[in-house]
Amino acid sequence: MELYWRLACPRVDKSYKAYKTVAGVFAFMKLTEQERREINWMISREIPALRRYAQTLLRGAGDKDDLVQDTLERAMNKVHTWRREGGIRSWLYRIQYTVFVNRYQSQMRRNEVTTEGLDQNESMAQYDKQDDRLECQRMLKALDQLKAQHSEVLVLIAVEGFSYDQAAQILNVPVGTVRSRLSRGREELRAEMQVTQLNEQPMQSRSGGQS
Amino acid sequence: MSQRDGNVQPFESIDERDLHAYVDGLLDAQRARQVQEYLKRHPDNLKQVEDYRQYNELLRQAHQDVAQEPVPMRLLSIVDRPRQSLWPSITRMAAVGALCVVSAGGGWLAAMQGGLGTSGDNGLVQNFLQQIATNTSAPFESMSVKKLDIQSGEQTDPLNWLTQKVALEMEAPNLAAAGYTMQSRRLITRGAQEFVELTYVNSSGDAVMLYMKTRWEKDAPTIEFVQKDDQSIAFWEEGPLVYALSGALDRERAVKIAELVRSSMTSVSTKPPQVQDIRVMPVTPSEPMQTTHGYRPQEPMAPAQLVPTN
Repeated sequence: MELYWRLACPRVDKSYKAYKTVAGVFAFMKLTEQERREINWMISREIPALRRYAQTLLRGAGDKDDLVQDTLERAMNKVHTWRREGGIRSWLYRIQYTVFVNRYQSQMRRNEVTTEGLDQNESMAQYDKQDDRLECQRMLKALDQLKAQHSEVLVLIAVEGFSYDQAAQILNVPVGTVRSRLSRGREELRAEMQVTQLNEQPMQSRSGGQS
Repeated sequence: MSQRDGNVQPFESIDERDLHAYVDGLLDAQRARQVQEYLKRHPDNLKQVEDYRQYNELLRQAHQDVAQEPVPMRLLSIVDRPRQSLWPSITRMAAVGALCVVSAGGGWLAAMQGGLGTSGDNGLVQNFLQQIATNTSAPFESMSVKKLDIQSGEQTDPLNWLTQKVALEMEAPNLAAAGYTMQSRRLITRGAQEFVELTYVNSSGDAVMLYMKTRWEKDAPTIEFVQKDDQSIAFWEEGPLVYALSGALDRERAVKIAELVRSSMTSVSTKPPQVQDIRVMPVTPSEPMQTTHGYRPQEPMAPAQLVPTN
């Protein structure tokens, strides 16, 4: 409904806000304790996945739990705007992405130079424990080399399991953009993976040195 | 990347977009078959698709550790905190939950009716079980059965219907740890009543059916076990769902499967490799349902013969 409203009245912000408030008041009046527990459960269920995607968004440049915390607080405050279209999962992801863009992305750009080396070390460090995670290490390393907007789409679809339409809603871009970013992201990933395959031996010794 | 409109295209028009959608399991069954045919003749693209699919798998594995870490308390406390502010306008949510029933073996119904008699006043469950009973033994002409199978794409998955109802991303519970694999998915409509039937089969051919249905009431959040002869039923509620697990299973096994359903429904899901299912399933047009013995419909698609367990 929110989406339709925005499409229909893109510029009538005031009436939109009034509509949302009225809808929220009605919702509040009708909501029972049972429903609160249900929605709490539904949101808590998504926290592990939100943390997982937060890591992708931040690329190791910030605390993923901070981002998830901001996301959850925002979600709990505007939960009355959730209209059940598309399910709660993509709704939460969309909030997380918005929070990320508004509060973290600009900060990350400023720190880009200093964090570039850090993010690789951090994500690599988790997998140094197990030898059979070598492929995963390579994958994460390759993923880190991708443009942010490509890896965001790729992870949203390959890991989080969203459809292209859902991914487009979450990232607030047309579905064609999702497709082309996915396509380019995969091409880049393939190139990166082939490069790291050639350099596999040096990479092993490097990661061994870190642990 | 070439452009094409959204209609079903002839075989030749398969482009990169189809390949990506194929990798991600987002094509409908017909289009997926076209892509498979296309890939047989284009080894370069086949290699590309296999690489992409491998990357998907690697990406999932590489991200799985984070999702399995325990959630910090500070995050949980945000959601659990009592709120005085406006609450969700999910008024329809109020009325909706889901009821799941797993049944195994023949004769479960009689035992279930007996068992439910002793279980007291769970009229909701009893009602639903009654429905299943009438559904499965009555002639199938009286209701529309939308026959689906695993090769069906996401759009026709009956779980999506449930997803819309409960606003919860639904995935079929994975019962592989108990030796059961998914056999078929169906959306059954009878009048105003609709429910989803998932059939699981183990290696010895025993079938377990999981029924899921929205409910209109929610009370008694307790886990309840009922046992009569060799039949056991376990009820529990979680979030917007209420589950009833029953079958010709001993108590221990029923509990084990119940736990599996629980963990499967509450854990973070990663996208299952749907495309691999498409490969192995034979292609058969859907047929009207017929039933020859009791509640168990013939499965025209089933590779394994479904045999009553009792």
